[in-house]
Amino acid sequence: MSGISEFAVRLNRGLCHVFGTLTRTLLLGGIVTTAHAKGKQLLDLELVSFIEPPYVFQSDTAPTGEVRGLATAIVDELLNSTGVSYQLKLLPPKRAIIYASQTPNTCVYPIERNQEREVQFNWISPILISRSGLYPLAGRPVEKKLEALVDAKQLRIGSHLGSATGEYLRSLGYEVDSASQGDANAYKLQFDRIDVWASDHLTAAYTAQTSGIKLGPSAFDFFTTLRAIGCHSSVSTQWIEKLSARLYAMYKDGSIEKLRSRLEKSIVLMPPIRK
Amino acid sequence: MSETTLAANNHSPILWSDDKTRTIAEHLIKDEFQPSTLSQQQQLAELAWFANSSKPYSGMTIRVVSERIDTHFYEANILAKAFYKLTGIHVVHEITGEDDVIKKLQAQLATGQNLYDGYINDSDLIGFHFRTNQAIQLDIFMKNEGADVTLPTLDLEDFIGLEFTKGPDGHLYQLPDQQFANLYWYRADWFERPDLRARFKKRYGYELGVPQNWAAYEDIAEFFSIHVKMIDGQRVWGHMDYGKRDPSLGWRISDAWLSLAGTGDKGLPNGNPVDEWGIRVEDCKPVGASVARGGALDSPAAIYAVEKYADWLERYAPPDAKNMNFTEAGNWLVKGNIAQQIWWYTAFTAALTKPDTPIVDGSGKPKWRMAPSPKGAYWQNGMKLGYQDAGSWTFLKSTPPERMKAAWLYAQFLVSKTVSLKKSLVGLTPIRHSDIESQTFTDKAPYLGGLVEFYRSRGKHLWTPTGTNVPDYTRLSNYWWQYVGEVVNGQRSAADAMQAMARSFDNALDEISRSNDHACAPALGPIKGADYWLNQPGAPRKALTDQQAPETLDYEEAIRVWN
Repeated sequence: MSGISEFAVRLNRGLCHVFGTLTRTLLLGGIVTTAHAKGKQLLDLELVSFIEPPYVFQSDTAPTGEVRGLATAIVDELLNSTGVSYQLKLLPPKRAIIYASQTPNTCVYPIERNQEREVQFNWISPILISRSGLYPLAGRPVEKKLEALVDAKQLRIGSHLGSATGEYLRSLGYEVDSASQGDANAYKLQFDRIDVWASDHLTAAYTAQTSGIKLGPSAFDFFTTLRAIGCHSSVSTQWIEKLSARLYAMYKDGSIEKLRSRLEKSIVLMPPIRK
Repeated sequence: MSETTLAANNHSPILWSDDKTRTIAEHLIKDEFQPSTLSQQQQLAELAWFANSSKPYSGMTIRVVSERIDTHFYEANILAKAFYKLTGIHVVHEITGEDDVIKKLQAQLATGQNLYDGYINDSDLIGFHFRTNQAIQLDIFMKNEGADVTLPTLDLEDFIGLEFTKGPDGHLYQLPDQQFANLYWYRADWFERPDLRARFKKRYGYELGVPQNWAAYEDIAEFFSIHVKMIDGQRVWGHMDYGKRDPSLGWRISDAWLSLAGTGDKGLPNGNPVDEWGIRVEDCKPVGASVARGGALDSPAAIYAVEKYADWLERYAPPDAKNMNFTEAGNWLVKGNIAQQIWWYTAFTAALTKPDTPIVDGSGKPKWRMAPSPKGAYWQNGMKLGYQDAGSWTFLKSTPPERMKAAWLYAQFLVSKTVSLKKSLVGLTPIRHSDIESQTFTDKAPYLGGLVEFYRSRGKHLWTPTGTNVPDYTRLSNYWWQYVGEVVNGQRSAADAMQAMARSFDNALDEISRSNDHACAPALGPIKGADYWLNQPGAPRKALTDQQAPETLDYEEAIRVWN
């Protein structure tokens, strides 16, 4: 089996659900840069994010300034239903993280939460739970079956700057080649500059679809990541706890599942993005 | 099924589903699982049991997570693959920071999403697990729904740390996978050098040796960092610690500094009624951490502990230490420029006994020794002697039962007698009496700096993890690094930080009490004031005015406390 259609077939159910949320966002017209919660406003936040399709992106067809994506949809619903208004702006990934860590009343999403970053923010977590795998190019599978991560020691692994997963692999002694943007790894696979791309499932599937570069199935799913909203320490503990409680309720009442599953087949309808 | 000619215990025949599986098992025993406390026949019988009991789960992929130490790398890189070959159950064994393990466990509990099928979670969370009814009670599970997937030769009595993973209700919530202690570490070769001994005695008036209290430790730290400075052409320091604002800074303080300062009450494992975190418990209910409520988190002993920590880090440790975390500092000792470390995790024994390093001699023996940590001014006989970490298998009720059973099989494989002695030699974090008492460990003892002596002594029971006074480790542990980090950065005094932290603890206990209806849930006690509590017997204690008289012992005398 090779190619995106076969690849899509083997995606797990959770991944398919994720696509649905994306489509919902598209159909509902996307998330605008300034959002106002219904009713009385209790908190006004500055929100920063960065382009990381399909979690956060600007569509070619959307009006200028609209920010979309699964993470954006979840964050919007979370804040909107908790009485928080916000203004959103996009920055490069590293700058977004630094900006939020240094600017009062500001939060950044969707960043990977880990021990190294723990002290930088007050956390609302997890807005997404993702699994990362090692993706080869379709038709060029990893020669030796990977039974454990250690079997990937001889591989050239692609990642991108600011990726906590890439940093994780590097810290364990793996050969990691970081591109400036995540989707550049699809092209690096195509030109045989890396053997596998360390990516979460949804990003790999989305990139394969939009770039037209077919990926093979993950050779090994090696890591589980919590994606979160990281807030400057000035955002009060009371608000962090309130938003966290609402987020957990969204998991338990099925809201997040609904966001994920509403139009789960949509990714195959998405047109390639022109480069 | 085919029958092998080998027999377990020379009684029952070993049944194999096919010859291929038997061959795999034989290769594993020959190539990987030596030495073992079991005979090869007994090992074969255990592996046959795993192969047969795993059949319903063969083809499944399960996911588990643990912290970043040598033992778990061996499990993830070698043992998970062996288990897959034997059973067909593919295990993704993730390794990540200890705080990440806790945050992921917390995420599963909060969201109900099944992130992992099993966690190797420190027994420090036992106070949380027994109060929240979200972790599986393994004693019940093994007798009932898990009976068909519980290894007949698991032999719970053989585990040295089972007392740490039981709740006050008597139920077993976790199964130890690895254990390591927090001990004093020093360069025995330097401490034995006549020139250094003479210089020390001339300056301080007593023998250079294993410090028994903080006064002696401080003298030795000053001696090497300020007065000796250079040994064999290399800059050396008399103290090592770490101070990076990181979750591991919190463990540094909560694991050791307060307990050995003498913050809590007498009574093992953690001090009763006030434990080493300064939390007072009445009838199993945490009632407060501040002195005003009878706790000791902002008591003179606790403030003294944090003051010493910050002061010695500033004055005697390498300048880089302030920017290091647990892992970075742990690997620093191998450079060979540290004379002593007041708390050192034996999980780093494997890393510090590798040949061809400045701290191992030409015959492969370490130039260093581990010994009991010195005690602070408030410490009294009968108080906790030190910390021990017991990373333990923990299963959550939100994990689908069939997945949990497959993970339970993997967990038992990692701690089975077939595997455990080899694993203990690789990671040096033993969990079984049978391994510790084995001839293999006797032969290995001269090469491990005192590890075998510690684990063969009563020390393995006296050095204890965080106890059941702490109702929500994940939540409360965040305060440690936040407040103590401010002391390291000079933003607060130790007294100010501990008073603020005690207030935060009290508030958190109050909030936990509102969301937990367990019989041992927190119930904040009344404020009676510091004057009242400081005049009661036990913790919290009044500020001392007397100075400690420094005391040292030679190594053999120092380690007698373990026995």
